[in-house]
Amino acid sequence: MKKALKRGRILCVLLVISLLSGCWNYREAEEMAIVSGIAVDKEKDQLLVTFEIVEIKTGNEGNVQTQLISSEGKTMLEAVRKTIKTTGKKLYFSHAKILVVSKEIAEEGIIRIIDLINRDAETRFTTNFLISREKTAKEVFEQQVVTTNILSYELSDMLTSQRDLGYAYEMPEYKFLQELAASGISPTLPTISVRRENSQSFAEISGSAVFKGDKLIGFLTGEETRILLFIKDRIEGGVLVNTMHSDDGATNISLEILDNKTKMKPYYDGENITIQIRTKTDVTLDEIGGQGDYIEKDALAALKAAFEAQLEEQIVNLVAKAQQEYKSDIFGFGRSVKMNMPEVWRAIEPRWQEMFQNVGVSVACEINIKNSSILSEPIKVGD
Amino acid sequence: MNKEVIPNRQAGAVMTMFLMGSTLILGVGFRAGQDVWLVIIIAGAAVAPFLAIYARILALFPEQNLYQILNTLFGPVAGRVLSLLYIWYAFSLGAMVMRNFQEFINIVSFPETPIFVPIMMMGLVCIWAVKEGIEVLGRWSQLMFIFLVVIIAVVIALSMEDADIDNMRPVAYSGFGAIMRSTFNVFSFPMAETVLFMTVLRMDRERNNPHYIFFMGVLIGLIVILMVSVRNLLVLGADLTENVYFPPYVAVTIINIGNFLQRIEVTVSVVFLFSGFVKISICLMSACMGIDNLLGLGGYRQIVAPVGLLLMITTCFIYKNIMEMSDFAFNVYSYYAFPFQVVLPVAVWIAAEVRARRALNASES
Repeated sequence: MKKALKRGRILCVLLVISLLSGCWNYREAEEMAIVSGIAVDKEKDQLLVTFEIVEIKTGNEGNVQTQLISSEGKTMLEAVRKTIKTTGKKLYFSHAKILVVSKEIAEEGIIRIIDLINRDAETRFTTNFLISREKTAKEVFEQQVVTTNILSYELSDMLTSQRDLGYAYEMPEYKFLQELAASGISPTLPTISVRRENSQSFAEISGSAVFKGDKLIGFLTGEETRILLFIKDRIEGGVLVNTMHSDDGATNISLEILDNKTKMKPYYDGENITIQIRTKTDVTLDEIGGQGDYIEKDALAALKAAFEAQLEEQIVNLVAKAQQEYKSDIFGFGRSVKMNMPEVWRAIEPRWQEMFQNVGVSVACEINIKNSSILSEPIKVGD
Repeated sequence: MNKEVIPNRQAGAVMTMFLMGSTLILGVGFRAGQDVWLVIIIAGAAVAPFLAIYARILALFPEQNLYQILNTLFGPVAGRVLSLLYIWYAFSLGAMVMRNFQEFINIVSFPETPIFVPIMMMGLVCIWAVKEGIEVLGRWSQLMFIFLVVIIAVVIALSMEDADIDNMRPVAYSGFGAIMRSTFNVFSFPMAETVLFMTVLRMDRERNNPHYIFFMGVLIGLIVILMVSVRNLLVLGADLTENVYFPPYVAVTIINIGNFLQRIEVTVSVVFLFSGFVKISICLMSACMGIDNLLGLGGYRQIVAPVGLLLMITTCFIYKNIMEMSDFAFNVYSYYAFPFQVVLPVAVWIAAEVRARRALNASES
């Protein structure tokens, strides 16, 4: 009797395990088309969405190939589902790393594109957004890959590595949404273009796109983007180049940025806002393209002053450009007012759009040359 | 040992898990934007006197739960009517938490699974646990509590890479009104929900200290909730936190340490699964004990299964969709819970004190 009861129990357990442990939403990897990147263009009044799809072929070595598939729709989701007509598989978005939007659509408003990426549970909040400078976003995906097999992942790597250059920056979806939603700052996104060399062409990420609200209104070059990062305290590396003149002639000098700290402080005199920007940069003197001795004390001080003046000028110029040309607070001056003087911000928030154009800036840059790498003097040239 | 009494530490652990329950997945107080930490601390201070009242009521009547206390204080008829109110509260709260659980599963992982399937899985385990009694829940919580706290602490540490301290500034910008409204929300969900512990715990005269249980349980729960909320704020910022249904889940999806440590949002699900299980079990146990007392069944275990099944079915139709759920949880629930959390306990407390005085006078004279 007892034994029978025990057997019955074991049977029950086995039944439960076999019946209940499966997954309802079970999906085999082969049954999904894994999307690595998305590009969105406009075609008449519809969206033309291109997906880069990763195919994993089994074989002796893991062989990864990608394929491009396009589909149209009035909305993003319609276009996504319409791909079933050609792929026969449902697209899977958890591994999508890149979204490229054509400038034509971005000019009309980017919400229409990003809402699905944001709302859907399958897509991730770390998808990187890019704006295409080319005619279409699709052609970006048609470029050659250089170091990996999957172009979208290569673009994602490019964005990560930009921290050593500073011409672009990672702008994952959630950061973009934060800047879009916050008062007192307008978002920017990195831009992508196609670089043609002889018969080959490559995708190139450099510069940024300036938004006002959710609409694209202009572009910054890679150089300007770096200055933008300086102001936003997001610079992590990069090269500063300047030409010094001395008795020996002109010498080009590069400094490599090790570390930077930018402080933004607003002042209010009852009428106008002034923003004080102070940067403090640690650099290495990494290259002296001539025989002039810039490591010697006085020359080094002059060098430092020249680089500081250059950076200050660039910052002032970029702020002026944003104020006059784009009228868009991409630096977060408003947010800095809100953080430091909440009561002032409450009063001026409604008219910040106009006020921003007249904000004064005082810039003070400090560059600390930490070392001159392993050489203590310029390279000597004998007679 | 069949008195269904558990040691202080275990009771405190159950309470902490109960507080973490649906709070750690829905998030709290985000209507106050960057001041959420302020709101949670104020709510903690505001709930303290009520915790003292709950503990005092239990201390005055050792070895009785709230239903028995109501009978003793207000007589069999009025006591039973009041019992009915608490049965309803426990039952409805259980259904709401179960629904949170189901909506979470359905939205983030299994959109095509019928809603009854996760509810059934969770419901059956809860029925089992409640049948086993508070002792089992206590021991289980004591063990799992450590596990969950370690997970939460590690995940928060990993999140710090994406944290931006500027998201907390400026302090108190949302204004007095918004902070007070949010505080009221956090007070009722989840802090003062611990009122249900009056209905499931019985105090042993020697072994238990109800003040210790309530204050330690809520304090640790508050610290965990505070840390998670601040993490959400630091990573997502005030606007985004308000935008999403499950802020902690989204905050954890962002973690990416060197392309290696990423996609660890299952940790959020695990924490919610375990703590939600405790919360639903306590609600179910409270409802069953109330019904037992109401009908004089002489033991709550025999009705756990039917009440549990009823709870599971109620869960299915309690809300039409997640919009309704979120609206109820953050706009209506505070007012709905107010009588159970504040008005009735204060009335019971006054009656209990008066009775205790009388008893003291009677014994003296």
